[in-house]
Amino acid sequence: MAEEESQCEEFEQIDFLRDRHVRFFQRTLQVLPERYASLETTRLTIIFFALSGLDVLDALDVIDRKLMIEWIYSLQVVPAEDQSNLSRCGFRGSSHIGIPYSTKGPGVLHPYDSGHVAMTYTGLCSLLILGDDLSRVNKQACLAGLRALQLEDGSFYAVPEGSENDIRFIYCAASICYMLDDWSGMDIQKAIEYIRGSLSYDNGFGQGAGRESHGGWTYCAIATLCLMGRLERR
Amino acid sequence: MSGVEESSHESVEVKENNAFDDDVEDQLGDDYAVDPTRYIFYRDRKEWADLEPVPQDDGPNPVVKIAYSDKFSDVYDYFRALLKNDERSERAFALTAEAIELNAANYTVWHYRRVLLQALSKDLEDEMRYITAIIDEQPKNYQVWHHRRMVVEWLKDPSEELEFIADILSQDAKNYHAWQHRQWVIQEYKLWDNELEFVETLLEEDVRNNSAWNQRHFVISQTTGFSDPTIVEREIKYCLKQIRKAPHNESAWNYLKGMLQDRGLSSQPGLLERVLELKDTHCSPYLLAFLFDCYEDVLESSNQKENVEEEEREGTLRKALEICKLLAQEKDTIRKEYWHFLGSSLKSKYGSSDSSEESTADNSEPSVPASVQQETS
Repeated sequence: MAEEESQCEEFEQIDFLRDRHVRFFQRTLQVLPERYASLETTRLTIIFFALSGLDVLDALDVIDRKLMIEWIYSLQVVPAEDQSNLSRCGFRGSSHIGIPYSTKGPGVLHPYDSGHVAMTYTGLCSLLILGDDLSRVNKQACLAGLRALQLEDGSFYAVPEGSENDIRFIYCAASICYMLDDWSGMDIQKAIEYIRGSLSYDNGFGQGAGRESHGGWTYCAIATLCLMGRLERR
Repeated sequence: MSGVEESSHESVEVKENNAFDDDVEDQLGDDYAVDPTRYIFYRDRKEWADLEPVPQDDGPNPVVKIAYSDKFSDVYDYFRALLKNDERSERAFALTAEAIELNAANYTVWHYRRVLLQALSKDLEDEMRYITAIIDEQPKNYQVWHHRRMVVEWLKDPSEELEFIADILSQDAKNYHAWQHRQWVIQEYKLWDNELEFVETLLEEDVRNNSAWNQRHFVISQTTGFSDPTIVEREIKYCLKQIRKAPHNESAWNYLKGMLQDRGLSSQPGLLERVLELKDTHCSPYLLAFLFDCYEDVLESSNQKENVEEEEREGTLRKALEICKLLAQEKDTIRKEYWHFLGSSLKSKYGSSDSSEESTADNSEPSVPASVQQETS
């Protein structure tokens, strides 16, 4: 009995270590060691997670918002003078392709430079968290880039060069349309058909038709329908 | 000379250990004939002197900067240079392997490699061997599976796939990428024949493998379907047998319900009784939930029939509410709010106004959580 009580006391003494969590996110936003190399192409999503964490902890004042906003805008793939890369616009995950740093247009033509749907999504989210008004986002270019990623079955590629296609990127697309307040970026009906087809026999959602249901994909499905305002109609 | 640079990534591993000796680097030009295993930076290789390396440019205030070693940066500086010129060459192809070894998640490297595979008409069988080795090392990476799919499509040859995936699944029976690739191969090339047998083998090894149960549903729904009563009976028997072996296996119950829910659980004659038989000896929250679903379906379909006695309906409702109470108070307390909610919903839908049925619980306020009130635009 006494042992149980002292164990309870130990639990009562554990505080929420807010400052340490804040420092963790701060450090993440600075430098990561080389063993995190696999995150290179998705660095913008890491920023999103860290900023969201700081936001939840009400600690965004520990970072320089302006500088961060500039860096995020440097990842925007903007139209070149001749507009030939419109279907490849959006946001990059990082500078890994080697485009010279720039926060203004016009875009530089590069045979392999294009946005990534999850980076466009987390890029926009991050800008909003930082208090930016998205006025420097080329909305029409982003939407053109988004349209280029949707397949016949309603799902999306991540990049115009092709990749796997599934429900995660539908969620990214819906979030982008929602944040830009413009649903011309996607065929809503086709996306809904794909989501419907992803419903598993156990009433969760898989990544696509026939696949095992999973919490993450169920979130993507429900959140997408919510953002579209179509949850009721199902 | 070029043999040194184009050696496989295996020997690069060996080279790394003595790569960073300053004295050694000073003598580079003459020495690699002497010691061909020493690693040489791309910037010091004569065959690459024509190319200007392209560094990453994160501007004045980089965010989430990854601290790459000299070797890593060197490889990728040259990768970026190749990309910029869209160079289509053997040296470029060889470099992609090094870049992949350093970061197999870089989708641009994989895309560029595919461009080169086609431009240089590389041997795709060799590429299959390559991607097999990489997936074996890193089976939870999206890019490697996508790459394999592309190569299989180009070759139009799925003959190695089922065995390869089975091998990966033997290391991790629930690898989502592996299952997804398997489903794609089977559907695309119509390789259904032995899949049910494969699923059964996996379920023998681990009856709780939900991925295998999912695959079972996938195979049957895409081949025979679930409308034939013989098939349905076979599957019910199979489920109940597995449930007897492992009563607290949610997968088996999900499968049983999932298979039958579209036409209504109560439409399957004798099923309710067969499940009730298990109630005392093989009880679980899932069994009780299944009974609840059966009773709910009975109520739903009796709504549509005219000759159902009021007494009978009330009896079913009472049984359903008893189950809710049992689950909420004893058998599945962590979900008590859910069971209360279901009980209340059922009562308000099927209960009569001058009801004499018992309440489901002490706090029988039919509270509708805020999350249920959905947005409509």
